Amino acid sequence: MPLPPRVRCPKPDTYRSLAPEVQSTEAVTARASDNGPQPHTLLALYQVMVMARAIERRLWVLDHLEPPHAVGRSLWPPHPVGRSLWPPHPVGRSQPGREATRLGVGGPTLVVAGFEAVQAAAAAALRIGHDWVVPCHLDLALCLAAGLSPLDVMLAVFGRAADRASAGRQSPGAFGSRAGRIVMTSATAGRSVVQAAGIAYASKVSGRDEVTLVCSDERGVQSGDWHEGINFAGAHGLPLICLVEDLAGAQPLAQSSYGSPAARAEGYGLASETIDGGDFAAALAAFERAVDRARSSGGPTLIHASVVDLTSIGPDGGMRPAEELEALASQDPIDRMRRGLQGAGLLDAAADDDVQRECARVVAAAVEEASTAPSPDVASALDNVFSRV
Amino acid sequence: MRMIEAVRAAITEEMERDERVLVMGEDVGRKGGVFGATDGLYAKFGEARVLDTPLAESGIVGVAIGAALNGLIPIAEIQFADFIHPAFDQIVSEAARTRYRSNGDWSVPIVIRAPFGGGVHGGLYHSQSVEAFYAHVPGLKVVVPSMPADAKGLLKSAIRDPDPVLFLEHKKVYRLVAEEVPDGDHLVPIGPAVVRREGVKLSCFAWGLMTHYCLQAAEQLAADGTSVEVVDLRCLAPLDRDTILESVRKTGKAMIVHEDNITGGFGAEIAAIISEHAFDSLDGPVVRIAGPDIPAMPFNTPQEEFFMPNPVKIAEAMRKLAAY
Repeated sequence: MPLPPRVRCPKPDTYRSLAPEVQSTEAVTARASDNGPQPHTLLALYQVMVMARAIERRLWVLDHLEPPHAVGRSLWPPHPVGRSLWPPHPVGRSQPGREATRLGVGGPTLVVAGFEAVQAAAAAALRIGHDWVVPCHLDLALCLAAGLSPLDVMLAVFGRAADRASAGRQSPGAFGSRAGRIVMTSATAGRSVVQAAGIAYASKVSGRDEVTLVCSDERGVQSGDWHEGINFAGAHGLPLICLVEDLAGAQPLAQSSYGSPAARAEGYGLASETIDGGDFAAALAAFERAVDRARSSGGPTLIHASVVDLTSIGPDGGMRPAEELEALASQDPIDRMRRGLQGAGLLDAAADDDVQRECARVVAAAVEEASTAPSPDVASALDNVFSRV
Repeated sequence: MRMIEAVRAAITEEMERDERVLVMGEDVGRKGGVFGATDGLYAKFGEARVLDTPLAESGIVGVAIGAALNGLIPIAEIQFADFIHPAFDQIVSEAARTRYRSNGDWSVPIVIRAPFGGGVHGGLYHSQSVEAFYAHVPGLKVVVPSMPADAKGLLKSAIRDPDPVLFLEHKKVYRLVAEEVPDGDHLVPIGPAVVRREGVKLSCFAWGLMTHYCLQAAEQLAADGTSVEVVDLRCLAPLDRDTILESVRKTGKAMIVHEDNITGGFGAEIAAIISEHAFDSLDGPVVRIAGPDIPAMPFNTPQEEFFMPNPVKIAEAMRKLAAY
């Protein structure tokens, strides 16, 4: 994707430029032309990626601040403290709590480093607020780009009453906003794919040109609901994009079959692409093709994106050697995006420092506000079981 | 009008009234459903609104949930309640929990229709009663009509309900009885039970086919001079506790009749409510007449009859309780 000519980098003086109340669809998804996003859009997406990483880093710090008396209260097992730049991997690859760990505030956190580029690219190809996003627990950057704020994320992490997605009911990672058409899902990989197919079916039969993006990790493609969902989407030629965010390239699942998700999707009548999920430009191009296909009644697409594992514990459960970590770090999608922006003259070192500082500041402010916000009162646990109508 | 026609009338009228309503399920389209509940709808409303689905129940309910999230009002048919189990997760963890987990931001206005019950030589996999699994789940309404007019009025209410409703139709009742069913906008609210037969000696609580069997048994006891009250619960969630307790306080004796096997069946919940809230009014043990604790209803005639409560078994139990 040719990057646009050098422009002056806007000072990222406030992250609220991407917050829901002021964010316009154009701000994130506008195109200067068919050649690609406008420079300010690329920079905004870069900022989203940095913000997602800053949130994850902050959660790890919060986790390590857990007071001794709280250890053992958590649902999640303890983990070794990483010695590298990258967060340690909390639990074994094959365990269901892979994405989660203890948090000083008493809940599991998110491990989503490495997923930022493919998610930012997906958001850039969609019409935010018009199209539907059905995320999984990995999709922090996607949901930030789709309208959630760092404060939204932190209020959920701390389980606060002001958490707009669920008032502190769902575990962190269950992103949602009806206003933003970010569908809150449950905690099971793959289950939401049939629901996404239903959303897309409703769009189709209602004659609306909405596209639905549904995401899962590599484990989700093994569930029955995933297969039932893409079978339905293929049978009806639905405007659905199924993104598989796959770390399995780094650590293959012993339980998985040899067939790639893309090959399986083709068997169900979907178009498919296999991409490097760390390459923003390539991912954006793939999503734009998929969105065009969906919006022009061309049917569903599966995008199988390989994602680099940046965590410091290897497949065998031991710490990765320093040289391996350095090699992984060279594939960091945020660094790759940064180099691309710098190479195109869109970002210089000073502006990048501003982005980093601003993200750190916004995350710190979000933590401060969320940590002191009130919890839900006990009586409200009985609310919203049924409609009051 | 029989119940099967009442169900069809309710769906037809709601689809005419609101273009967001659609039906989906196995063979509901061209075939019109294995029992004919959706007969003629495909021709009338077209393929997009009368959708034949793959034989994949989790997918049927999951797709219905998604369509509801995006503004439609799906009526998902599970061909037999015995086949609903693959969708348990979508119903319980997804549909019933969506409003709660989003603190009211999202809701899932779907109806899941499922023919249930035995006595038709359906064997192990076409005879089950599944109400206890689902009446246990907060966030889900469970409706079990026993009469055609109620079937129409309750189904129309279910379609208009903003929350997920499991609508259980006893397959033997589909063509068992006929009655006048009001034309047009006949709505029966979800929740209230109805006293089908007033009595003073004991109270009998039932739903679906068992309501009819209890009424037949009560008729036998009336011939002996014993007055039995029969309450048709109609809805198990929400449950009309007031009508149950009011009846027990009047008669002093309670019997619950259901086809589902006895242990952990919904009768246990009703018995607990009565013992907790009407203990002082009781003049005898709370009795449950239900299927035996075997995995499912056998196909062969003697064992199917052994499994099913029937008017003779119920009348015998009524006499015993009345004499207590």
